[in-house]
Amino acid sequence: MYLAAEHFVRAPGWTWYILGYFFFAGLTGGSYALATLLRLVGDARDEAAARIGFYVSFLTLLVCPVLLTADLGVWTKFWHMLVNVTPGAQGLNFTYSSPMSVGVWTLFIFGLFATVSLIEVFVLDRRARSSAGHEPVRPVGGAAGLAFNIVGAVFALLVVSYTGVLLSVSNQPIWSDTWMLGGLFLASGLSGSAALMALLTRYRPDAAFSLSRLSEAMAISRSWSSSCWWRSS
Amino acid sequence: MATTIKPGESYGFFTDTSICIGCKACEVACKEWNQLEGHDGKFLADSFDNTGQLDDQNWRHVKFIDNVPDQTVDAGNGKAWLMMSDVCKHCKHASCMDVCPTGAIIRTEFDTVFIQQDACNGCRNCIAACPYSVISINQKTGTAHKCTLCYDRLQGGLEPACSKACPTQSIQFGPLADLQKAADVRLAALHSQGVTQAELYGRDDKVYGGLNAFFLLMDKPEAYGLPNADNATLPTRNDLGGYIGAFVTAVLGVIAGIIAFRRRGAS
Repeated sequence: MYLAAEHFVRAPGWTWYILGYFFFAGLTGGSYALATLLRLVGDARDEAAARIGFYVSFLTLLVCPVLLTADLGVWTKFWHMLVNVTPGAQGLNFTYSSPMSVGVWTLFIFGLFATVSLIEVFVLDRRARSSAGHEPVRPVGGAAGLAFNIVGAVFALLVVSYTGVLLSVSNQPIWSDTWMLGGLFLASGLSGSAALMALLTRYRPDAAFSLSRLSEAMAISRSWSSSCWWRSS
Repeated sequence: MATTIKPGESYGFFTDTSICIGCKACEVACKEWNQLEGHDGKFLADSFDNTGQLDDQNWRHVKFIDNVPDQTVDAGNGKAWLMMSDVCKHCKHASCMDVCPTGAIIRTEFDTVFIQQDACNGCRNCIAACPYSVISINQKTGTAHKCTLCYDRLQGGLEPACSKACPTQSIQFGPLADLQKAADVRLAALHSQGVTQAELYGRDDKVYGGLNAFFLLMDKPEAYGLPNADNATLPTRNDLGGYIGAFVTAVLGVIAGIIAFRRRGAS
């Protein structure tokens, strides 16, 4: 393959805030998706680890908009990402061809899901502690609650991967010479989240059951992220 | 070129590099009208070009290409340097517009590409996308700046400052159709005089659907650092593939989760 040698385009100069955002976006989306999967296909004893995932997802989510806003040239105009202020074209802003526009909306919607899920697991944990019952507490809502998690997980997966697509949808050398970056970011986000959740099972004894399963998930997604890396380079 | 400027028509520049003398009057006129402070003067020790590049302060940039073959030398003449007054191309299919998330980049009533300063929030996605390195961030305002094709002057019925100031009519302004006709005539004249290397760049739709600011070049586009038709690619070419790659990985990720988290018989 030839390199598009004529494209000596200017680097956008995104700062380390964006680097940090990629990392936290991988964790927030990855842990939400894994927590949902634990509830969906896992054992009843996996519920504790799933809750770790929802806590991690919310806490790492908090950092994301802060980092994104800090990188803007005019941070007070961050809301222009969502609202078009062009005279004659005012209203909500969505440009499907711009991964940044897609990503901003995805992050916004995912934020609602992650917040609701945080409240859910927080309330469940408190209730379990006060009742001191030994039977594991099931997630609320039954099938509806699970469906809520699944829809949230779809947005979560997009939060992790759109950042890679964003880099490819440019005329920058290397970045735009491949379209595997979205997959690469997703695979590494999932494996990083599995590693973090596995680490945190140390601090929550009732989640110890899920440790080996999280390690296994980490190993599998790790190998896929390696193969994405190999295919993109 | 005295023309009445009417909204709803396509306007642009025809920059004929064969008659550019490298005086940089366009750069000066542009800075004067658009109140660009410019950078601190720098001696780049690289030909007569001390402007360096198009950016937030330089909306016109006279490129000097002095690395030309010796064949251009003949009796009484030295090497024929290539000079080209570069500018935002106001692409018909603009990469910057495709990726702008705020809607700040618009196509005006004169069919030019314009960044609304009050809407732009400085996300810099357009800089990553522009294949011509035209856009950069103004450090004072924090927003993306580039040539406006003198939007304000056009609204007032005036032609842009650079073409007005150009002493050789290397930069011509007018309705796009007229410019294209003029360019065809000029190219035919050069070819009939034996200047066979002359070619038009952006006159047809081979690069970015056609350029409203197009050029007559005296060498291949590559010699001027411009992407040729094969390399003129849009950022959005990776949109579909990128999301498909992400989707396939998402499916694999879910499979990984099912393998790792599935209920085993022994539990």
